[in-house]
Amino acid sequence: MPKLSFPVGPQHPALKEPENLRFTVDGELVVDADIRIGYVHRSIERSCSERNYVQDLYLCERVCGICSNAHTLCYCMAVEKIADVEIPERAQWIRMIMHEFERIHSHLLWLGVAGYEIGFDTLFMYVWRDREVVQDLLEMVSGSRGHYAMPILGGVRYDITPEMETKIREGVAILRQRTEHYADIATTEATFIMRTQDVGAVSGERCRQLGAVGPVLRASGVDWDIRTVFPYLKYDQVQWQVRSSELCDVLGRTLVRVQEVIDACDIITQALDQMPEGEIQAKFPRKVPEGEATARVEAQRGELIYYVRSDGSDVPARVKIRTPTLANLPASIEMVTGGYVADIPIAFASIDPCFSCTDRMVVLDDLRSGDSRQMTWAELVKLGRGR
Amino acid sequence: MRETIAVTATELIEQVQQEYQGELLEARASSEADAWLGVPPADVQQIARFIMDAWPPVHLSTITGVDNGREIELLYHFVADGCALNLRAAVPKGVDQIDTIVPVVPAAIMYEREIMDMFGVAMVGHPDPRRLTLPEDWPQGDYPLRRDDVAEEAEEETNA
Repeated sequence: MPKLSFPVGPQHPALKEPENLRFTVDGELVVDADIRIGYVHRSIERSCSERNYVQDLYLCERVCGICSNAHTLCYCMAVEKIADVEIPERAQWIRMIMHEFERIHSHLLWLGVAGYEIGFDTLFMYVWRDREVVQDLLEMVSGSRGHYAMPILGGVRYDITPEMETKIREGVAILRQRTEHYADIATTEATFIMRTQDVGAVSGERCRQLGAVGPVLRASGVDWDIRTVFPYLKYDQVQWQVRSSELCDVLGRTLVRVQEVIDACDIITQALDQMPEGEIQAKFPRKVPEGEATARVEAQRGELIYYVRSDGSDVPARVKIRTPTLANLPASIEMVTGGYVADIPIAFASIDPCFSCTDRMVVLDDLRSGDSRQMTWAELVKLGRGR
Repeated sequence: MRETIAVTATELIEQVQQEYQGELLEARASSEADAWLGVPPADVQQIARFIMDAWPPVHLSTITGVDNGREIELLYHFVADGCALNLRAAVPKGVDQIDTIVPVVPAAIMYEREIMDMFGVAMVGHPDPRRLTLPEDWPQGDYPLRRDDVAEEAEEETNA
């Protein structure tokens, strides 16, 4: 049979985000795959060096709607490193609680999507119902379900009150219990196992070579987690362990994520137990001294790195962002190659891709005339400043 | 839970210095776990190979490009055994090319494509030098993260 090449996307091949995949198939087997990104590039890096440090905080938060907290956290860590500002103890604990809340909501969101991709919609609905628990907690603490705006330069925006603490403990207990149930489903439910076992396999060694990060890397048997490689916040003061799996497939990635949700619940409880009273914000200078720094955090999708350079003014000279999805793309291509066409969605979704994160350009299409027009940088600046 | 740092930034710099025949343009440790090294662009592949062999497994986090006016500075962010190693190489404008490190570090494939898109620094020997984020109809020779146009626009604004 002749080999056939066809495009998938750019509209929503996995999750509700645009990217273009091109597959070459021989019958039902995928023999080659290629990926095209950039559909949601928004010039965030460039815009960061046009705005001051405080404005950038809001901009970085909008790199991604799912891991917004990880972005602000990482940005703050990098800038605080240059300015040599130590944030108060309590603020570090609150940052860690928010970081883990976000991991819970994101992994549960992913588990729901995974259920949907394999036609297990019941799982999708139950998981997303339970995810509301953590969404409510996030809203209670920060006032928002999406962009929490919790980390600020020098600390955190809001404190956790004793009333909130009680509600968090209750909520986390429910989440933990429900997630244990999902861990049970993932290991015992025949339909789930049949659709995930040996699907999208990639070896640990290959993941290492291709620079994969996060649950993708850990599910291929590599214990590598920024929370232990470069301990930040208070991860060295709570009991938890890096979760990995030797399965190297979609099932392994599911198990790692589900286990990380359970661990996150435990980390939050321990944080509430150990958190001292005190200030939550340190004074932060408007201008940042000359210097450069990198910061890394373990976002829910893997290692997130920020590089910030300051020229001594109140506007950063350069902000570079590398999101986990970009690091995982080369591995994802290997995952789908050699598999069946029917497994493409789940295999691809198993890296938990996020393209708003990965892309960050503007091409405007005039819908009426069908012309595509490109804005010059000067026009864009004018548009942005005119608002 | 804290894992001990297997190699410190100072040790790491010393080992690279011993291995490297040329003179390092920069060698400093900003903390126990952050090393900064500067080399001429021609030697990046050689140093990358040494890093990969000396502390396996090494992870390349990303490559940052910075436009310094006269040159495009490239920063390769490695993680070697629990210590971050930032390798710096400045490519003068007009030269605009550097050897790829993909044969040594396969993980660099996407990051080098991003640099080619955004800064117009050609990666000589790159196995797949297509555009990464820019659309196919983006004008040739227009690199979004280069700062040349900012200087020109500022001049235009002053004149206007």
